[in-house]
Amino acid sequence: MPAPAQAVDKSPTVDIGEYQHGFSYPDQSVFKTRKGLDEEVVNAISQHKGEPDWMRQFRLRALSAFRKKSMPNWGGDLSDLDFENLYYYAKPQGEQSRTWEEVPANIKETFDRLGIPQAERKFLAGVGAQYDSEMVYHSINADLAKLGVIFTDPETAVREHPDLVRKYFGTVIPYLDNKFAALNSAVWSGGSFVYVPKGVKVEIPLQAYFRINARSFGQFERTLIIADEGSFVHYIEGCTAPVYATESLHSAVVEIIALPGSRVRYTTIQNWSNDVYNLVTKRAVAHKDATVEWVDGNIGSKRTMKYPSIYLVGEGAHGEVLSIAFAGKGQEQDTGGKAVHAASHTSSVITAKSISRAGGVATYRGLLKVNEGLHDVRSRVVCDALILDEKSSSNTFPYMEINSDDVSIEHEARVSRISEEQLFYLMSRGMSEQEASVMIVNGFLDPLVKQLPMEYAVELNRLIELEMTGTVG
Amino acid sequence: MSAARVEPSWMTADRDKAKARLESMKWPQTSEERWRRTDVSRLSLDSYTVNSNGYSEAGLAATPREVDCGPHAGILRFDAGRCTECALNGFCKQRGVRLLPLSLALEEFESPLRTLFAERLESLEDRFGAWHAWTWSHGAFLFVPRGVEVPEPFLLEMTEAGSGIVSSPHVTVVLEEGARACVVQRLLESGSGSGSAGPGLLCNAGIDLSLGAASGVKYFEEQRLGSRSLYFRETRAHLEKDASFAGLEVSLGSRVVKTDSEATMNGRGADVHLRGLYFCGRDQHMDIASVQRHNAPSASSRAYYKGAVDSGGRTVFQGLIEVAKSASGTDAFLTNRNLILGDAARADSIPTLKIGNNDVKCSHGSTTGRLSDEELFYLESRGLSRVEAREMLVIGYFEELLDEAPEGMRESSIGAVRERLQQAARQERAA
Amino acid sequence: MARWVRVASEGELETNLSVAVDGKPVAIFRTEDGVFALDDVCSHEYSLLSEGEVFQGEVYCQKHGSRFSLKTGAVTGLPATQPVRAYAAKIEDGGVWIEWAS
Repeated sequence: MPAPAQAVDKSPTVDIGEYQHGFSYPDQSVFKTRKGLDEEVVNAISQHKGEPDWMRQFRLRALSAFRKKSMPNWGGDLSDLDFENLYYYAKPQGEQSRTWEEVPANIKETFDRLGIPQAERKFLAGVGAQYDSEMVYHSINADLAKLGVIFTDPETAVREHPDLVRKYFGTVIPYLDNKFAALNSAVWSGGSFVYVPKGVKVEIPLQAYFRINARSFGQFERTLIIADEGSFVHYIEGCTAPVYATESLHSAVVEIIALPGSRVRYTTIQNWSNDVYNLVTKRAVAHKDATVEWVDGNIGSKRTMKYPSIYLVGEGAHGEVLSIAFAGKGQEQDTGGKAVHAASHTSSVITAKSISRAGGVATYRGLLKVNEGLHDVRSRVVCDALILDEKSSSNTFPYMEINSDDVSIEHEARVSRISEEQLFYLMSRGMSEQEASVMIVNGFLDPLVKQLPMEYAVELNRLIELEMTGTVG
Repeated sequence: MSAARVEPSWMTADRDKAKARLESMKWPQTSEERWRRTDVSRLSLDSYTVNSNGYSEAGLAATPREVDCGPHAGILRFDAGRCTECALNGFCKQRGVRLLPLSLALEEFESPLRTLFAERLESLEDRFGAWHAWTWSHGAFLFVPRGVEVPEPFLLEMTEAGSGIVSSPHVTVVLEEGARACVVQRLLESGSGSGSAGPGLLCNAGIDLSLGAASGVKYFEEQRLGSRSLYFRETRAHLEKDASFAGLEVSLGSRVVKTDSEATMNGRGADVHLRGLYFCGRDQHMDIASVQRHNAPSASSRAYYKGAVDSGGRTVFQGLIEVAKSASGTDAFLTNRNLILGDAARADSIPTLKIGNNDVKCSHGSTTGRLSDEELFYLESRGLSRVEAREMLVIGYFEELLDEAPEGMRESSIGAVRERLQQAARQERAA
Repeated sequence: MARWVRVASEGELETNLSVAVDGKPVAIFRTEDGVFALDDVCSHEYSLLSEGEVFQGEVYCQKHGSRFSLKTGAVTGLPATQPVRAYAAKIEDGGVWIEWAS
């Protein structure tokens, strides 16, 4: 194999010994923010963040992997995606903000209906970034600090907790995993870093929402959650209010490490505006007796491809994926979950519910894999799809690869429309057809919505109602 | 290929078209979704030769003999591609039912056959399909006219033979409106006992069923090729309004099996019932696919496939229910069950749904597991040995699929499963 | 019965090499710590480890980034979860040898 080019460090991972003294970066004033992606942009990102050299080298290797990797030849239609025509970091000031008057009426109306506070609305609509959540954020942070919990952004973590970061960053999702993981690894910015010490149970859910700033809703968030032995944490990402993105590609990476005996629940409600490509890689490793739960709600975006995964590598580990997908006009939700059983006495449950209407396409894609030589492995996958009208469709592609015999694997999938009897019954009680449909759909989603923190559940129900009455989207 | 025989020009033209298509295709790679789990790159496919001497139909009497076919309505037997028996009972003869070697039907039944072969050419999915369309060598043609219902089954028995050769049998069944028939096809191999050496043969088969309005066919296929042979088969059933197709495929032999059974419902009210049994032992690889394609409203379909895989074996089941936008009122269900009988066995199950219409009831289910410990213990406590208990449970597991199969086939399949289990137990003891 | 098999000449091995022994693909690696041999096929999905990057005693599969110890074949990074087989290897008399049990 030919020796790699000298300019890029040969080492494929972050390592202490590689810091190079005297390396000079391009002068910031010379670098102009521009579209497209190359070494100059990556170096600028790293420099602006004041990163140590090992992280800069990691990004550059990821860039090289991004160029080599090919687009997926399955899943949603990504042919419109033009990599050269995107900003991967700071955009010129003039192009970034928009005025309140320019925000579409339907977005404003959704804010009204959902009861979003005035202060938040402007932020969510991309009008400047002045949402001040300092007070809320600081008080929660003080409580967490007392417990030894670290909850910060990844840039701060790289500077203040390098040992922890280097031990785990990129170990669950290597940059070679797929093209979008490589992209994120090269240009990641913002996201969360969470570390929960041994035995600590964090009672309140951690929400990135509290730390709202332009980077929290960035395109290339990178989140790393480490739950040490016996700990518990619930992390919530996103919000039900429509997020009016400034760029059309959102490619995040979330890595979770659940050490023995720990439990992590990660809840996402995604409602990106309908011009966004939402391509996310989320993966968790569950060690001995650990539990990881993904609760994944996909309401917005033009195309979403996301399959939260759990690798059960220790005996007694358990994984769950609860997925809700709503595909409306012009949308393709390609979602699901993966469970890989690499240890005996493990179990997994994947429950996916989808709704498609007005021509939307909801697709479930999942993998259940059981390695060889394992004992006592149990798994149950249930997929339920509701197609509300003739224009819409649904697909189910479950893959089961079973290499051991001491297993109990069940999979079921159902596709149907709203039952005539149910509709008739509700209408005979005085509801309009639309009201009855909304009720039935909310009932359909109920088992999963029940798993969300209450205010999200309420918002989600209201949002579904809005989606179905065609007020938004 | 057809230089050795005289064929209508349309057939020769079709073969040439298939040959041209083949030359533009490579052998399937594992990067293609359909072939992801069956790697043919190490099977030395190019080394198999078409043996036109052994596979010709020279010297055959054109008129079927009218004989007492016993429990069958008609019999067609082939030995190494040569038709050795062609018989039809009186009932059938009187009503215009025809059963004859396919080559002899090409002229007389040009209309349906030409349509079916053209459809095949149009929907070629891979090089195996093109290869078959170019080189099919022998086969059966069954025609049942309007309104004729034949109660006894037709027996098609093909005994393949040879080492390093490729055999491409084709079966076409045409049922006119309101016709009913039952076909039992047995695929065997001679000279493939444990003493013989060599690479076995490659059987690349095709089955076409054209089912007119309100017609109904039951089609049973039993594949018992030798343990070194390779088996590839594409079955295409086309159903008109209110037609019905009940199929059962039993896969026991060959070291590599890749079959694809597709039922396309083009007329409203059609009904499909696909069943499959596959038993995969050590060093075998079985990749079984089924497709329930709903192109018309109010059709219903069921697919029920049960497999068992022993140590060292690998099975793949890929089932698809595809519902077109126009197919409202569809009722479709797909079930796959896999029994894993030992370590180092692998079962992949991929039941999929592509649903384009919402006025449907579609679902699928899949379970994978092993024999129940409680049941095994119960039988052993009643005096059965472990081997006997396993045998009983595995046969019990498969039995429901063989419910409707003709007696002879049921016995033969159960016998084969039993023999395999005993052989596996002997090998385990010896190890 | 294990025996040493000569799989290549020393000149053919720069850092990575793919050879076949008894029809089975084997990847040979040379680093400053010595010569190593592993099954060439990644245990995650079909991909050749001989085409991967080597760093600090591990090889990184190019397809999805799975990591394996050169010495033992143990998995050291996802998405692979199963090890690959490792063989003893050495360079002797101008040739590359691996210890093979047929």
